[in-house]
Amino acid sequence: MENPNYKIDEIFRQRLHDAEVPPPPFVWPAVEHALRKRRRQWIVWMFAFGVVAACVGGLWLSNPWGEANPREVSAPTADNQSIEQEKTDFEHKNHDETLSVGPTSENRQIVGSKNSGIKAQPQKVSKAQPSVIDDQSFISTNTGLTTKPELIDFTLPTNKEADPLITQALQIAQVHPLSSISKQKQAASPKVFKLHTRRKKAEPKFCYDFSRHPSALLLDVYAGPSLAQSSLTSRVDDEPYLNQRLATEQRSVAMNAGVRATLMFNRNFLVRTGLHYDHVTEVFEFIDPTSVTYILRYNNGDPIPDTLGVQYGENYLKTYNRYGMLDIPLMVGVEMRRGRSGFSINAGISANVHFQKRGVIIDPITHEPARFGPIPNKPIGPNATLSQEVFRPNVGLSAIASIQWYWHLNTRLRLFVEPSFRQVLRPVSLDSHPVEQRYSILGLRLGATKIF
Amino acid sequence: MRTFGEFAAPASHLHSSPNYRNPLNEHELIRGCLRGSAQCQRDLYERFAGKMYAVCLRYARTREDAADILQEGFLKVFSKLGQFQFQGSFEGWVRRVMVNTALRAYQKQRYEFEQSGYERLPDLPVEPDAVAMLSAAELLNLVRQLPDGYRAVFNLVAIEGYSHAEAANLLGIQESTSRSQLTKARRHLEEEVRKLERTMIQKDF
Repeated sequence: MENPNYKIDEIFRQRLHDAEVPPPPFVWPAVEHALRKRRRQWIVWMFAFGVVAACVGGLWLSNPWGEANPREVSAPTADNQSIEQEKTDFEHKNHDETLSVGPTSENRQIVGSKNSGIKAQPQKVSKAQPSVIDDQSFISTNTGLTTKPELIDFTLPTNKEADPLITQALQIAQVHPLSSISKQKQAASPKVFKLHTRRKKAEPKFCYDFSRHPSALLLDVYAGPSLAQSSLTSRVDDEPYLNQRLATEQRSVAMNAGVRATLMFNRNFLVRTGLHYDHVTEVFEFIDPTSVTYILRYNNGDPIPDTLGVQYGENYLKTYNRYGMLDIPLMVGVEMRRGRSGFSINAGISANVHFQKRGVIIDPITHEPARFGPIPNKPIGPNATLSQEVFRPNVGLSAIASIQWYWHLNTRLRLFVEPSFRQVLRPVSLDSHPVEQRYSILGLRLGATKIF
Repeated sequence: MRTFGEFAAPASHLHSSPNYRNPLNEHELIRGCLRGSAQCQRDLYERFAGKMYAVCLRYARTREDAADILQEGFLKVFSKLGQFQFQGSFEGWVRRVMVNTALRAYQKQRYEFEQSGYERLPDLPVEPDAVAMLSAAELLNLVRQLPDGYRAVFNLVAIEGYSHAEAANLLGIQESTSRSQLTKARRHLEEEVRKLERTMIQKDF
């Protein structure tokens, strides 16, 4: 017999498993808002990662500490120790060759020490020095030879009375100079000697010598075209209004300009701030094919106007909406140079100080064109102003990034091209407005930099 | 506040959306969402929101909780969409995400397994025909009136088709507990159905 309980389960399953209930209308806007927030967070994280990667890469490429400290270079690594050993072996070889001539300590002193070697007198040579002291002085001299090989002086003494033994020893030294051993070892371990032998590239005469002056103040002046992307999304389920906005507003031209002070420190790192202005122009175009206009005349004292005429036709309105954003940016960056040109990667934030807006959009309540912003004395187009506030007084923070490529005109002046990206972090429209309006601006900055 | 009368017309609600004039197939929608298309995300939501909200209502205590679960569940769906292998039913995958989200919310709230007064077994089991006479809205209401522990097990085992072992694993309880919870849930439902029957008979007379 079938268990009736299982039958009940089956009925519940059949009736409820695929049931549908329309969800509350506020769920999707909340989901959409959260998705956008996550996307923005992702962009910010990628941004931060890019900046860190650029800084690390810049540090690695520029290697600001690599050529400064010879002690680090000649630290007793395995290679260096083997070089010392080889030099000692060479000395022993000289010692063997000259063993029958004089004491080892004297030869070492002659070969290793330029002071005692050149001006050596026979009486002095016959004096035996403690071998321990000689070894120490030799090693220290050798260390000196490693770092400053030009200090070695193997010229034969001009003194005619020089001891022939000394002369012979010096000749041997000339046949097998220490530098030849160093060269062999240098070939065997190029990494160690690369730092010794690396010569600083001669700075072109057009470039500012950042190696000599690692900190500098730069002043940028720039301007250029932009591409502003305005994204409109519906906050509530008001698709008709959103579609009206989308149909009447078109992207047009935009431009940017600014002046910026840059502090360069540690040769490669930049901190930039200044004033930046973005100007966005959009076309508003509205067509009402079934427009009816009544021409009325109000007489004094008569509350009912006279109808002078009625116009039927198409109402066409085209105007330009203008948005201006004045900002104070704060950017950090890293600069890399090669010859006369170079590039820098910059990122940071920008705080809006003034948001100017003027134009016409569709009113969310009347669904007719209405003005926003300062109303001029002679209004063009609709006389009505928006029935409610639409835009924020201030757009707040933006995330900004740019890559600058520059070219030196002379030591103190350079020209640059700088593609930039700006994302306004929060909507420029008020939360109470049914459409959320955001801006992202792709700009190209063309300018000049003066180095102080 | 919406009523259960809306049960009757979920399709008309969905088809009123302009996005369904040229509906994309499921895989195109998923790929669009993976590309970050806001329109595809909205279409996907509209395609599954009705069914998933019904799922959430079965697991949640209140409509507000159900809406929260639906929102969180869809956020998970969009963020984990890359894990869908394009094998099997996508609706099943979304439903699983929703059920897991609902259970997690249920565990977060740490509802105690409430001791109800329905421990005593009824004298006679309710006739299945009596249950069949009830509308989907009434059945859903009955499920939602179950104590939390009973409701979760009943939803998972009786409606979703999970085994007791799977349900116990999801809920973090013993398998035997799952079985006893299901039995108690059935008794609870039978009692409620009987009450409804009596009410209907009284109305008829």
